[in-house]
Amino acid sequence: MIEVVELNKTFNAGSPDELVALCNVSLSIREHQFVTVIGTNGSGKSTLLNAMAGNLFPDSGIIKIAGEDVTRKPDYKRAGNIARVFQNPYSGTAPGMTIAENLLMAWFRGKKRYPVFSMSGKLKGFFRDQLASLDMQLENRMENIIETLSGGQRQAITLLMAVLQTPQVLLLDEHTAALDPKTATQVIRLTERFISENKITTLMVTHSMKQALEMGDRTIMMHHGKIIEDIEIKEKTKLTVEDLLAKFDDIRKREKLTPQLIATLKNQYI
Amino acid sequence: MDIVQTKWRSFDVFQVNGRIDGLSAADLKHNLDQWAASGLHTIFLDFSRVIFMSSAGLRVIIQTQKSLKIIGGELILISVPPIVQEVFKISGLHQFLKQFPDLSAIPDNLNHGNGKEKFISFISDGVQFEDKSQDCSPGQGVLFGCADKLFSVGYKMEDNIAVNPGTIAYGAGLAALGSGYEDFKSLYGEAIIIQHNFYSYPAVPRASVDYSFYSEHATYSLNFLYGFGITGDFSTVLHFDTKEKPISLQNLLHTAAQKAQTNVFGVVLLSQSGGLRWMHLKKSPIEQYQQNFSDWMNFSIEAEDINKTILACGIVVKEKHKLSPQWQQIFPGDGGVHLHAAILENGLWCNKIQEFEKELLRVARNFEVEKVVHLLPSSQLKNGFIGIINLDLD
Amino acid sequence: MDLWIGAINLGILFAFMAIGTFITYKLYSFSDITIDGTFTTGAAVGSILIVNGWNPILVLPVAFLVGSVAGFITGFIHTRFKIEGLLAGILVMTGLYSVNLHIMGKSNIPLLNSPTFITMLSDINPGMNMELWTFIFLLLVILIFWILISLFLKTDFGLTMRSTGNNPVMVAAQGVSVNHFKIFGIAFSNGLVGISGALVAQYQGFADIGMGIGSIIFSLASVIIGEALFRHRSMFIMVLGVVIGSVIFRLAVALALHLGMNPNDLKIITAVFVLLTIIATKVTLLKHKNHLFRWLALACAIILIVFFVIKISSSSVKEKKTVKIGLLLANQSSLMTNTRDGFYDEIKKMGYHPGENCKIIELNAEGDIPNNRTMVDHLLEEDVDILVTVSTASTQAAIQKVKNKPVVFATVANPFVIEAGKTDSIHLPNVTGVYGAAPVKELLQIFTQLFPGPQKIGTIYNPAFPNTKVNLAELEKMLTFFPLLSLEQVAVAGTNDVYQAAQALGAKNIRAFVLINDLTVFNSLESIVKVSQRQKIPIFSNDAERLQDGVLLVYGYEYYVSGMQAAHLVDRILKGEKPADIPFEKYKIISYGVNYDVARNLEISIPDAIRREAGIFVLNGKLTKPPLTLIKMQKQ
Repeated sequence: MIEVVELNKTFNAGSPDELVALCNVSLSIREHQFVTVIGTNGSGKSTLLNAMAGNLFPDSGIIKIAGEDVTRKPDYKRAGNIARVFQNPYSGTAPGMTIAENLLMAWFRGKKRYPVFSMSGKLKGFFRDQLASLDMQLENRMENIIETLSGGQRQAITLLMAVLQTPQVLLLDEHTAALDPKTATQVIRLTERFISENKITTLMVTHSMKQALEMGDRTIMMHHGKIIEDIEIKEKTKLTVEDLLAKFDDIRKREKLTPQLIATLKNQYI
Repeated sequence: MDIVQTKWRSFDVFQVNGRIDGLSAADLKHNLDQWAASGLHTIFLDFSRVIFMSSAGLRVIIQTQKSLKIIGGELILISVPPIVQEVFKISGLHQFLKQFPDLSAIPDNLNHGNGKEKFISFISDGVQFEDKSQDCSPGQGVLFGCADKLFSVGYKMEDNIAVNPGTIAYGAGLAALGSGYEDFKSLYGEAIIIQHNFYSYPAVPRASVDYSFYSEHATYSLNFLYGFGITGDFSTVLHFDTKEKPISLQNLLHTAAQKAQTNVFGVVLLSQSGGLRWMHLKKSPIEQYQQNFSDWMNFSIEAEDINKTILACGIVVKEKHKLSPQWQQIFPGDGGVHLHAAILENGLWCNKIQEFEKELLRVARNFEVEKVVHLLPSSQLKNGFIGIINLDLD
Repeated sequence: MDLWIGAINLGILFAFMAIGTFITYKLYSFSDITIDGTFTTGAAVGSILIVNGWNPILVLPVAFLVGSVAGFITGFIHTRFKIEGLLAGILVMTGLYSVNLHIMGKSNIPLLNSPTFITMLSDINPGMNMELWTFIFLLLVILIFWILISLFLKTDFGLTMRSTGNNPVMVAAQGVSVNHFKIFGIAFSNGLVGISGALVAQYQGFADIGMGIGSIIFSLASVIIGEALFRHRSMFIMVLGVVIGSVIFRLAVALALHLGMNPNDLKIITAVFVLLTIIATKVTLLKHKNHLFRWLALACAIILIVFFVIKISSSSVKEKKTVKIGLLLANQSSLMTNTRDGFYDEIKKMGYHPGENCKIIELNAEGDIPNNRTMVDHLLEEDVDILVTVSTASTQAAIQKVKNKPVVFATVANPFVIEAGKTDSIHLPNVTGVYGAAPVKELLQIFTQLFPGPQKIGTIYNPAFPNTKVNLAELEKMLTFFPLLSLEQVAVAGTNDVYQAAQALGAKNIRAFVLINDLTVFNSLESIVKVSQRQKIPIFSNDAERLQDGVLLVYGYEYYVSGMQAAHLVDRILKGEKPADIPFEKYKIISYGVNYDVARNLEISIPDAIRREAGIFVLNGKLTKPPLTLIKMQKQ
């Protein structure tokens, strides 16, 4: 479903703050696969997601979604196939609009909008049912503006908006990172439900090793713009959070090793 | 419930006020554990102001008494009011608890009574030392295998040396447990021997420590690639107690070297860690040479493993050039210390210097060992013992 | 009454612009300064089409379209090149100035004798007061527009527009091109501003290059007032708030004028007012739940501002029931003030003493063209006996509006282009005045006297001023009488360009600068003098007032005289003559002067013939000037 070939992206190239965000990243994701991505800070996981979403264009490489080369397509042209949920709960909804208006915006995801009135009683009823399924007592607050909702409620609505028109690909960018643990659990439960119900091909960036291991059927570990581990479901079930931590710890140590330090350490060992 | 600390003669007395019930028992337990961990093994509790104690409180008293007894300490209750006395009586516990009607009834020589020995005390680098020395003849050191191959081509089957655990009291090296080279060749790792008991940390991912408790009827042998063994009596045991700032292993060994009478000496360490620096192999050094340092060596970036119990064993040399070349090669290029350490769960041990050897065995056998590592001299230690065995290598 | 209804009508016409601003400012959080230019563009396109025979209603879609194109450019620059919104607006606004000039062909298009929606309304007026009739019509139009625009903003498309401003990240994720919607919104908004411009031009009877200045501030004020009054999410109420805000703003301006505010303070009052309203809306006072409370708070604020205005204003004079003269100036340039001073001095000599036996209400539009209209309304409200208008713009506003009171104009270069009359004696019955094109031919004559033979002369002018264009045409026409002279001309857009222009002419080896009457050149004469001194190129000028400042020779009118003559015309009318019987007058006194200091410096010897003729001269830094008196004037 998603085919990424030798993606490269460097920020501030040539300047002292040069940052290689993606370095020859290749990745292939099958249809209906739910992939979690973990990585250190600045590992390029968000850049990878943004490149898929079309928020930024890679320096080189190819991104194919459902067989179509979308590498140079801007985000809004991909939105018909791709739905997104952002880390910031304030990003995914229009704060000054009502819940119903936000849902209507999502109802037209990837479609043309005309100067007509689509908000029929039937559609409203459909929205109400969908909101009820969130189990957050939002179905009776459809005319409330988003601003009056909590971060967790907003994120739940953003999720609902993402799957209102079942997308081919769902991109989740640390979408529970800014929530309190209890709300985060609630949103994670919704996430799993939506994905499994609709069998959506999903890429979920997360900061939580636990989420990475417990959710999805494949985990990708990124570091310094490279995929350093690609763990399929078989292997994944055996892994513990400690194993993942050890892997990152190992990488951290590798980075600190200068030839001098190696010499010193060798001399201290034997 | 609240607790007020007072002094009576040289003892710290903790006066407990109020109710000890389901709500406050955990609080009391937490306090008792902390005092014990800080080295206070005889704890005086003044119960004169306790107005009630439930079975939860009773449980805390029993647990504490049990754990203190093991390390030679005890719980002493003072002015227990009748209402609490009743609880002890019903449970039949009153006979296991030492009680005094009031502070003045405590005898002066309590806790210093049986087999009391006086030790020399001194302070070095702000650390309080106690010194128990005895005259004894130097011990024996043996060397097996060759450390050189670690950096060259790797070890082969013929490099394996079988060592009888009965012949070595203390030791360290690169070793594995098992019978059949093919079975254990990938399990070599840092190893340590404490009173004939063997612990090794296989150099594989997600390793757990292998160990064998020694018995006189043991028929197995230990598989060493290289290592050394020490047998002999402790000429000196130092107890050290750092109040705030931990002492570095380097400084501790420096003090030990002044006590040692020979150029080379063995050290055995029981201590609480204040941040360790260590290295250990990640892959067994068999028939392979790892180009990439980080692929075969794990090491601490910053001080790790704080507040763990450690058991360590190693040899120290004062003047390396006076050694024979075979012995020289066992010391790292950068110094005169080769020390392996078992890192264990944190726990209590008796801080009486004369109990050192007994405690070594108890800790080694009862505490869970997390890993065995090559300990670097920059590690920090809080308090514990260091035993010195003079070695005559000729 | 006309003052108030007129203000409401103006408010409704400006409401189209305010709704445009509402879209950019409230929905997109985009302060679009383009509208300062688009407003004029709408007026320009509308007027030029009307003059060319278009139906005044049919020009509105064209004005919308042209405005949209300007907005589209701003939006495109802003989104495509990621240029900050304000800067993009300034760029397009600046560019539009030239475009507007090209569209209009001159800086002012009078619609006095052309059909406008007002004349169309007038044709079907059942006999009501014209302003009231206009009001009823405009009310109907704005009602329909209000409903349409509100409904539009509620459709899927409108919802998407609003969401785009509210959270661009989210709409992009929903497959909406934020840039396209942004561009559309800005273009649509500017289209509405264009309509507003076309309507206002028709309403006030002319389009002028400067009429858009300050539009953004005025419409922001309207939007903010509306928002303060109606804090509600409903599109209908929000848009209604903007319309009412626009009307309130115009009423506030009228109120300030009515209460005798010093017009010089109009701009700072507006700025302070907008600032205070913005601050007030941020303060909890106006966030109060109770609507009545909010209304009261806003009313208090307005009253406070007006009170403050009255306090600092100095022009309110208590008077006995005497003659009332309304004096209206277009701006603060010395052209205007010299005329005014001449008028004051002369009228006093003739026995009219302001504050004693007459009252002179002086207003100044401060360069804001639409203001002239409001000020005329105010003077009518004050029931003045006679209006004296200084400048073309003020005169234009007055003759469009005033039909039954005498109007005397002064310092107008050509009253015929604004359709005040056909000849000096055949003109609007209630209008007369003083005018005059500069004596270009005479100046050239004197030049050839000094420098005979084939010569190259240079001139500098700002084409934005209507008078300048008249004068330049005159210069070009007169040159045909002097076949040995050739002309180099350089156009400038403002005073800052003049120095460069003078240098450019100097580089072309001209023999002299021959300057026609031009406000820009007048205000930046020093720049030319610098070049004149350095390159020893003498200056000949039609402007008599700056001889002392480094000009070699002047031959022309002093606008002071224009004021003096206007005072005489006022006197005649007040004494019973009918304006229709008084022909337009040309300026009567010619000032002919030589600066001998400059002549010495430039090593030019002045022939005796000229020495004898020139009554004014500067020698050793001292200006010698025969007194300007009416007696002398009549002798000539």
